[in-house]
Amino acid sequence: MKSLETRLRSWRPRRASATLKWRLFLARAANVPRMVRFAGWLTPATACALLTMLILNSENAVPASGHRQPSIMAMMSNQSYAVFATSRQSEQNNLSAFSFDWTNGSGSGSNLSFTPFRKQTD
Amino acid sequence: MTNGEQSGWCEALYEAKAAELILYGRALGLSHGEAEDVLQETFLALMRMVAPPLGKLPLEPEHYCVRSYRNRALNHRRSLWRRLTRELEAFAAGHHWFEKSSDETEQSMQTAAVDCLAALPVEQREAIVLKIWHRFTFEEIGGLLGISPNTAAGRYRYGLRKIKHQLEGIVYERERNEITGDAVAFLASAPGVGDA
Repeated sequence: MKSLETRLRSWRPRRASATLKWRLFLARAANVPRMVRFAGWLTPATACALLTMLILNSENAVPASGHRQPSIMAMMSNQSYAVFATSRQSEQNNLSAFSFDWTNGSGSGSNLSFTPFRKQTD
Repeated sequence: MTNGEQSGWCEALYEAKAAELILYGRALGLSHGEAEDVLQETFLALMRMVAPPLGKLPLEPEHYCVRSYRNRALNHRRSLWRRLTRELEAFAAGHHWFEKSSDETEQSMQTAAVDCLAALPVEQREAIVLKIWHRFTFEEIGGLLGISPNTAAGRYRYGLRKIKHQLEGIVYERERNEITGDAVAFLASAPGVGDA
């Protein structure tokens, strides 16, 4: 039993972390906790203030100011306008419908004809 | 006592007792992180007590620390949330109560002893840690825990006996494995019957 006690006593208990000693003695001596406490609320407060400013300055945040409302928002809020916008713009947006006639006509000196958006078939 | 003296005195006490108090916290069922939190609370309270407005110096600082630590640890242990996080930490980190030994045999003995120590009832564990690592007498343990010295001695001996049995079993297993290993090596190195 005695030898077991001696053996157990020879084992050194696990040490406390170095940061604990720093927090207890060194940081207190340097008056750091006050700064840490100050930073502890200053950082989230600054983040909140920045986030609030970002939200308020965003274009989507002020629906009352009509002239700044983006067209996407208007389309989503008004379905008939969305349909109109789609049908009106579809012709212009369909590039394959365009053909540059002057490139195929006799006015051009080139012997290459222009065929827009033709897929290659192997 | 001035601020500088107070800080120096507390720091010396911390150096002398921190590791043992953390071990005591582990024996009381706290995780290493919790034991450190309680250690911090204990020393902050001690520093406030010793600081100029109060300026009280405990008669036996080391014993005062252990008593204060124990009370705070028992309060700390009660929270359900802390208990859950402790279980998770114990599951993830295992029982790492001592500084690791460079000797592999000693390290395996240590691991086995800690496993056995962790499996003991808290009362026995507490008595063992106080007696062996804090070097308390049975009278002092009895005074701290509010029990008679005989009860403290009984808890200590009963717990230590369990650890001893556990370790003897491990040593026996290891020796048997070594003998079997040696025998297998000897037989493997021996020439075949046909060659002889």
